[in-house]
Amino acid sequence: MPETDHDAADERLARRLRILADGPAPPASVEGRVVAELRSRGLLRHGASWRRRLLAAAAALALFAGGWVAGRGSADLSPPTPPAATYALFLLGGVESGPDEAERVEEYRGWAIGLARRGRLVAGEKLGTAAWLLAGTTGGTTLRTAPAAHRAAPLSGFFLLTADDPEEALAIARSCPHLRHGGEVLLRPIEPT
Amino acid sequence: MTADAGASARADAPAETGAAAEASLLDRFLAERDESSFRVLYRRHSPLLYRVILRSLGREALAEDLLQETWVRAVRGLPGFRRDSSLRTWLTGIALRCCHEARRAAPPGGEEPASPVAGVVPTSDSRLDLERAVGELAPGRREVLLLHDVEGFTHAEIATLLDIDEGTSKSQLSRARRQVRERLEAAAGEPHPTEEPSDARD
Repeated sequence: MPETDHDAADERLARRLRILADGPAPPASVEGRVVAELRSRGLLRHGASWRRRLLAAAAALALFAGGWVAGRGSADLSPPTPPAATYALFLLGGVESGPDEAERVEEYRGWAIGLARRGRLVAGEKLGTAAWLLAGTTGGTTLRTAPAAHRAAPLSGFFLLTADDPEEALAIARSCPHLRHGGEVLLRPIEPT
Repeated sequence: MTADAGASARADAPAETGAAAEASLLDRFLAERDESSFRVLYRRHSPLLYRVILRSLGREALAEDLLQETWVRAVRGLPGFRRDSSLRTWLTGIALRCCHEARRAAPPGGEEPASPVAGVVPTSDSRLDLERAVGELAPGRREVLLLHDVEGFTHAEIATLLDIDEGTSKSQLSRARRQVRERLEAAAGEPHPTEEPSDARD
């Protein structure tokens, strides 16, 4: 074969080989194992991972009942690579349930999915109506249950968000549908430990 | 398909701004040793590292362990990384060293496995044939082909990665391509035509 035919054939082969760069991908489980090993060798800063901290905060806040974010665990809504700042957004004030409840839930869900697609949503939950408010007293604890608990601490839901800076977090908070339904929202940064 | 189209398709080749952003990510990780920075680095580079390890070894069994070992060595050695090459190149060098050590410690059996890249779900027979043909190359030649034609490293980078001359890299590449073409022709049972109709339009 003349040299030029070799070169042309080589070029065609090289183009086919380039496609092999699309995979295979490493199994997802390896990432966690690598992080664990690095931590056990003292190569990563010690302390609860950001993911565990957020989940702990969520569990401490709420009884999980239903959820606004559909399909958590699907590839589209998996948590983003965590940037530096994470925020908790609390939805204050119950929204009266009524005939358009389903529509409102869809509105919140649509907003949450929009955030997820931009890599800003970590979690979001609508809170159920059951509530237990405990306070410590010299005699022990007092317990107020719904509706007294609701009047004392009227939380209807929360979101955990990531944002590049406080301005972005505020912009996200301002866009929350809860504000359009007579509720208030409270934005708090999550402190890295 | 022009050479430019091929180059721009290589999503993991950093542009100028990408290189600067990576440098500051490295600085931050070295200062903070935080998990989130590490995960960014891990997710950015592991696809390449895993592909290289998997195909260089030619079998799936050790690939995950070697990927893990690569990152442990990388994080340990990061303070000493002089940044005279890209991080991508430096990490690939570590991955290749892990592969070479693994190969020395446990040389493969007499014959290469029939489907060396067991994890690949082939989208076509031709892709499986290609993986197999590449897997049948001798390790040195295979690595040059993988690094150059699949992963887009230059001969200069390959020379550092494999500790060979650029001239050796070029001749190994040429031989590797010729060998792969021969194996593909043998697999097809008949010589491929020199002009493939679909390519003639490129």
